[in-house]
Amino acid sequence: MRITCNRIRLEYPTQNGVLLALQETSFSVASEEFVCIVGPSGCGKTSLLKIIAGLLQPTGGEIDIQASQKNGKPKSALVFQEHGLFPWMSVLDNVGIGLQFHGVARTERHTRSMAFIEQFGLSEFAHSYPHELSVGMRQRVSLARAFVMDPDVLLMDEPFASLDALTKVVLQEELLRIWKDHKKQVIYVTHDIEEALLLGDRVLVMSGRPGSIRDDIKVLLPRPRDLQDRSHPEIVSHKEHIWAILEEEVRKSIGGVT
Amino acid sequence: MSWGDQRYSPRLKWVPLIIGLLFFGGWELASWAKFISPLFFPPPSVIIEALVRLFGTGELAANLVATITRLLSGFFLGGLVGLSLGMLMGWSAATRQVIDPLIAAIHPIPKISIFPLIMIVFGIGAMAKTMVIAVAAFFPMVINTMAGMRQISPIYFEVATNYGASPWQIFRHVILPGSSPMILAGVRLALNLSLTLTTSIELLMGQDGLGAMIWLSWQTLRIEELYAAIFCLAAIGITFRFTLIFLAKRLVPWSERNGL
Repeated sequence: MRITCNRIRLEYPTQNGVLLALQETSFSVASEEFVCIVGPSGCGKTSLLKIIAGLLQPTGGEIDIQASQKNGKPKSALVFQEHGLFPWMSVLDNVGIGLQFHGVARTERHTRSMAFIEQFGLSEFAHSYPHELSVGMRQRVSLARAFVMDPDVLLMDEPFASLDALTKVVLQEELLRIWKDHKKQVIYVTHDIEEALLLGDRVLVMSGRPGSIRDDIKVLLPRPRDLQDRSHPEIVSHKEHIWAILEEEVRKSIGGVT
Repeated sequence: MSWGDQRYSPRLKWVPLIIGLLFFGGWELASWAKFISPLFFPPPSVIIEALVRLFGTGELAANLVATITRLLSGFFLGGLVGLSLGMLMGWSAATRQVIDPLIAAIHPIPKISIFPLIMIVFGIGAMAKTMVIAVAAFFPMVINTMAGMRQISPIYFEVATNYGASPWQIFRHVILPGSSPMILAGVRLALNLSLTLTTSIELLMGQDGLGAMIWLSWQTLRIEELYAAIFCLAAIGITFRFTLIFLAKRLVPWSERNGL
């Protein structure tokens, strides 16, 4: 599947007039590509994700999603920051909910869900409720719920933002491992530059509000990239480059002197 | 929740029961010793005797049935209307905009005070009594149902939509479970209010039911029968509570507050 965003524009009506959230945002993502989007908070990266997911309508520009040939599959599955799991459903039901919404029968739903629950190491907790799990485990459930749908593209909105540093590293590795097995297209929104460089094939750098794409960086360092690669010269130079762009944007957005 | 100490201790479970037994034991002794007036505070053993006797004659059972029937019919009538309207108001902002101010205006009126008006409309029969109880039960149900729907985080709707839910599936898997803890709390409030209103009306009308029995035994100074009726009312209240705890464990096992 190929996703092409052409001059996307998004305006919100607010009490103080119209707020321009995104302007002239253009990029495309090839199939099986892992693209990270970094940007300062409030730059509209989550809105961009929701537009691709079809939850928001852009007020300008067009978005072209060329679906793959396989029928009956959803185009996208979202993974939210946190609190995206239904607290009233067990882990098994949460993972299977997309399948249930698509009318998959109970037995098949459970078999398919259990397969992913196992891949994410949660077999023991299949019948637990989210509030009984740690934040890291809950995020694993969110990932399993998205993967089980076998969507064309996984849309992730800072899925690991609320995790502690160690859990984050473990989950990033798990995500890459399972992503490799299933070869999914991923659009991953984050404000963590290092995370973007370790996960992505490409990193799109967004400006502050109104958001638009400031730079498009290819990360050529081969996978698996591990902790040592944080100090690899390629990563370091990208990091400095992105930080220079973002620093300017952040200063602009908080009204500092440049 | 991490304020105070929120842990439950299984040993403390029996303490309320022990306090109750001590209270009744002390009452029994104090009454026999004439430390308190046995006329106005007859010992619990005499009250239990009266309870058994009144059950034997069928008088108490008849009043109990009258009270429970009245209470439940009022509760279900008002509760179901409140539930439906609350859902409509939770669903549509327009409905909320029109109805919410009306509810805010009518809610503070003590419901017993509009009983005469309700009798003018519905006559002096059973209908008027059911209606005033229904009105009392309506308010906590409509308010809690609406609030229960409104407090569901928008993220759940986005997840459901993104994962392909139909409007019915959103209702069944997001709205219904998401609002059920608040709705159950509304049921609890509505039941307690219904019990209060039922007793008040029976006291006022003096025809049948536990409230009427209380009034009658007071008038004829059969104080032990008065207490027998109060015990029955307490038993109804306790039954409601345990039924609701049972329901909450079945319906909202995921809620951390399902002890109510």
